[in-house]
Amino acid sequence: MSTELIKKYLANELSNDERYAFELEMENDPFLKDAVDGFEVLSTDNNQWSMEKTEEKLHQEIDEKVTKIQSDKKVIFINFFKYAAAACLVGIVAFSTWRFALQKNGIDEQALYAANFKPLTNPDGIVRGENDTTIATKAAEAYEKEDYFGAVKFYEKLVADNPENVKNNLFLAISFMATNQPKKAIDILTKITTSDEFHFDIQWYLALAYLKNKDLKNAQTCFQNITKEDNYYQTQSKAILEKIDGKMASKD
Amino acid sequence: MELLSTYSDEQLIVLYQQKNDAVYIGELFKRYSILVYGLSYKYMRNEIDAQESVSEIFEHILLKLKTQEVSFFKSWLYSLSKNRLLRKIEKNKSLEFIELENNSEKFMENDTSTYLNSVEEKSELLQKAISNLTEEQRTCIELFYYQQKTYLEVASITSYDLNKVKSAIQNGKRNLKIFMEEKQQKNEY
Repeated sequence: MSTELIKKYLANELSNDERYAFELEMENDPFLKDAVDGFEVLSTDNNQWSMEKTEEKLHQEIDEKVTKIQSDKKVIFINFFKYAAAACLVGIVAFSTWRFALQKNGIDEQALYAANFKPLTNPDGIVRGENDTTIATKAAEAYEKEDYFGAVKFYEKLVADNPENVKNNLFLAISFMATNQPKKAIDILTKITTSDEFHFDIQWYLALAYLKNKDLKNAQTCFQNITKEDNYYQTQSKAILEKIDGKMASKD
Repeated sequence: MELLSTYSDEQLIVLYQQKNDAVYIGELFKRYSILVYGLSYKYMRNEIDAQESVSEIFEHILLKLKTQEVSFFKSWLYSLSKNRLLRKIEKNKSLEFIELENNSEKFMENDTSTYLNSVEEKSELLQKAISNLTEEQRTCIELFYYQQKTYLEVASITSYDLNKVKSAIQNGKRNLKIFMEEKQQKNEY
């Protein structure tokens, strides 16, 4: 039903047949009938009222509402991406900071450790007999073959049998370090630090174990002890100390 | 953007639900906004209130149609608009209670229109129902439906006031429906 037809009906501009058809249509369509009732009353209440202007105004308002809804949706959409981008940025910055902090406090220590840790050559490997099947031989053999898990197993037995044996303790500790168990190595090495036998080896590996365990302060102390006297590890320890000092200074 | 005017009411609803774009309901509502306005004025009797009601109804259907399935939008919109307007009137203390009663009565009358279209034939039952109407209603119904006279012509022939003619047709239709339903329920026809 066009607005024009309603307008003509209200203005009594339809022919008799058209008018009747319209009224029959109204009787079939209560929505149209009620609306026309409303227009008739409105035309009486306000003789200046214009259906065209009203419809134009209604359409304009609908368009405005639609545009507002669409723009609100866009704002929500844009805001979502803005916040998502901001969250990503924060995440990236946080992750980078975390990585940087790790590098400062962890990765360098690991790098220092990796650059300096090398299992001590086991003297028993050279002197053992071909048919020697003792645990000590098996331990030395495993150690020599770089089977450090096997070495740990045999050296643990040897240390259990003779806890005072410095050499076995030292090689057990080194085997622990080679199998990435620095805490166990520290536990063992701290018990034999006063030993004269393998004295600087013990200090050296203990220092490295602390380094591996990210305990810079104890590592520093151990390296300092090594540098006080002439020994095989003195130069190396000095070099490491310089790096640790620099790191400690930057942390302060 | 596609030519929205080529879509049916129901297609626009489906598109709105699929694309969540208010432009489809905007197009749909524009088709009936003037009718909603007329309907609103009928009950609000105030241009500003009528305009506001149209706006509220538009916002309401935007929400409703997000999920609701509608087979015949025009009928659905009419019922929805009418109910909202009635509720609004009920809240409005300035309106007379009698007006409300009249409005409710008219809605009931309107509901009979579709039914009557299907029984326009001069069946025996219909003839009995017509003869059972008041003289005023019977005359107006016969002049309008059988002799196809316009409201104005009926008013001119009967010397009734135009509103009285409309009212007599409405009430006559309602009484016809009641009479015929009663007879059918009693299996007399």
